Amino acid sequence: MMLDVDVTASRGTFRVEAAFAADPGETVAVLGPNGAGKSTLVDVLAGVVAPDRGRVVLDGVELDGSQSKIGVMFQGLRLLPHLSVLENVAFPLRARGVRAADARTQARGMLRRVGAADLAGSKPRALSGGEAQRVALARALIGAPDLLVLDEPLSALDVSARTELRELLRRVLEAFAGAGVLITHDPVDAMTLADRIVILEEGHVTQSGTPDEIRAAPRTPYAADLVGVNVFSGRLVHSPDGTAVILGSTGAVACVPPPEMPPGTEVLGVVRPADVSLHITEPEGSPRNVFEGAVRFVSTDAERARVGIASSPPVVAEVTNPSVAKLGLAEGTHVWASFKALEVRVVAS
Amino acid sequence: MSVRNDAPPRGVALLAGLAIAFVALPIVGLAIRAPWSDLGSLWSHGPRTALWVSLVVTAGAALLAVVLGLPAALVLGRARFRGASIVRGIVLLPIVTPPVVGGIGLLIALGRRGVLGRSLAALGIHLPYTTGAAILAAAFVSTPLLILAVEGGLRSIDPDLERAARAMGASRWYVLRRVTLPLLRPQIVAGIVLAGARALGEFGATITFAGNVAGRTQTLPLSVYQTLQSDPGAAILQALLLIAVSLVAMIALRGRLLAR
Repeated sequence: MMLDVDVTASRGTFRVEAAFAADPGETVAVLGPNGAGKSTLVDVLAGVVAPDRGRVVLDGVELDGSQSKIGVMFQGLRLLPHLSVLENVAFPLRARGVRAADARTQARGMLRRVGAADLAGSKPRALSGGEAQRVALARALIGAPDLLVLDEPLSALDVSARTELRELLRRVLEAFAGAGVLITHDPVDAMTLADRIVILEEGHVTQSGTPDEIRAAPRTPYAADLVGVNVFSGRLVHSPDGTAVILGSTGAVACVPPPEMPPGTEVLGVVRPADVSLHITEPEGSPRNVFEGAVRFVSTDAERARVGIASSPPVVAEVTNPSVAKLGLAEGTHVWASFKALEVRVVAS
Repeated sequence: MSVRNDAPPRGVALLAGLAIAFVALPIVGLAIRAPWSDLGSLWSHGPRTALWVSLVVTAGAALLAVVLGLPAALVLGRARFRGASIVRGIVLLPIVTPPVVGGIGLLIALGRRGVLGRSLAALGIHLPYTTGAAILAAAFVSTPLLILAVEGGLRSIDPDLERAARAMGASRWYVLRRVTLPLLRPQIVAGIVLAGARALGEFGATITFAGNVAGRTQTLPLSVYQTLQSDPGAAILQALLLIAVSLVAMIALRGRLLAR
């Protein structure tokens, strides 16, 4: 299913303009801070709100109010509290006139797919956060939608439930033949789950592209802050003291792995450029991660500079403009970049 | 001895005791003064008929309250049109109007020579002094209570749930049937109990609009009032019967309808 979105919608005086597309089987992440217009966009995609202008075209057919081909995982989930989990998952089918017995059979199958088969008889209020999330995902997937909209699917979860659910979402999205739209404020979710990222700020798309493209050249401070992070991919190798290194093709990065992750897990280590310190001489003291190399680029804006270092692995640091001058940073300067193992956020890839 | 930490302050508990005593005192008084040896007289024709009329009127009024009040509450609870608060005020007026005033209004509107009554009479429908009139009078005073209860419930429902249901492809009717009404169930039950209780105790509008015709419009409260003139002891027994019926109905309804 090919998705083509080009809409203007408003909520009160706030206007959102967004245009993006997704190829069959592709997932697009719409990434933006709070108040960027993400939920207005979700309402338009879900058919709750009609756009002021433009349209959402799915496989050559413009979506109207019938919404029969869209599965939505709503922010806050919106499970119906008076219905059992099974009836909740069967609801979209029942609403479209599928017979109760058929709808329940399909709902059971879908609950099994998301690993929530044993919850069928429970009421939503009896579910944990992660369980409710699975049920909401099952409800979004039921009836084979052409478009799957996931609105902040991983928010409000503790770390281990998050990791588990991200893994489930990744499996689901990989197998999903339609177009997927993931709405999130978390760049790691966007980078691990989506093929393409659309950055939405103050109602406008400020940049779109593959995660690699955006990471390489973030166009706004927000994009630089959130997507322009250092990502080290590799395999977890534990040491007896509880720490581990992420062993990748370009080097090893020390980290503190989440307790539930076994050795050998394929992971991403995420480090914010602002957490990376730069030194002209080899630093002393505690940082576990020290990498040396030549400065590859220095790009400055009003307040700060992003400094790329050709180390193994390559690292991007963010420093204030005065420190650029103080350290005498320029292309080719030999520097040491350091950051603590604790500052490496480890997520399953 | 353990002290419950959620207990209210002593002064509040004292006032609560006063309130309970205030409400219970008349009932206890009735029970003390009742000629219990004449209890069998309740089974005589008069009280039995009045009880039957009361039950028919109460059931009819509660049904009307649901049929008319539920849609009204659903519309008013989501009303965004101008003057919605004025409409709401008019609909809820019977709660504060003296019932006798409501009765006069009904008489003028639906009575034999009333505004609408004349047209009804032309169709062969004569309302005054019929059980139907008693039901209308009771429904007039009790429907606003159901509206009030359900409207309050409607405002406590997260509208996102209904929007989500619509986004999942449900029609407006389907959302009403499978989402809104089930979520409103506790408030609808409370509304029915309130409306029924109000209808069972209705006096002023009934006697004004429907009259006091034994076997047709003389409900138990009307019968209690009439009997009091001639036989206070029998009136007390009928009053206790009325209380017993209210209690049983309220407990049964709540237990039955609130159970999921």
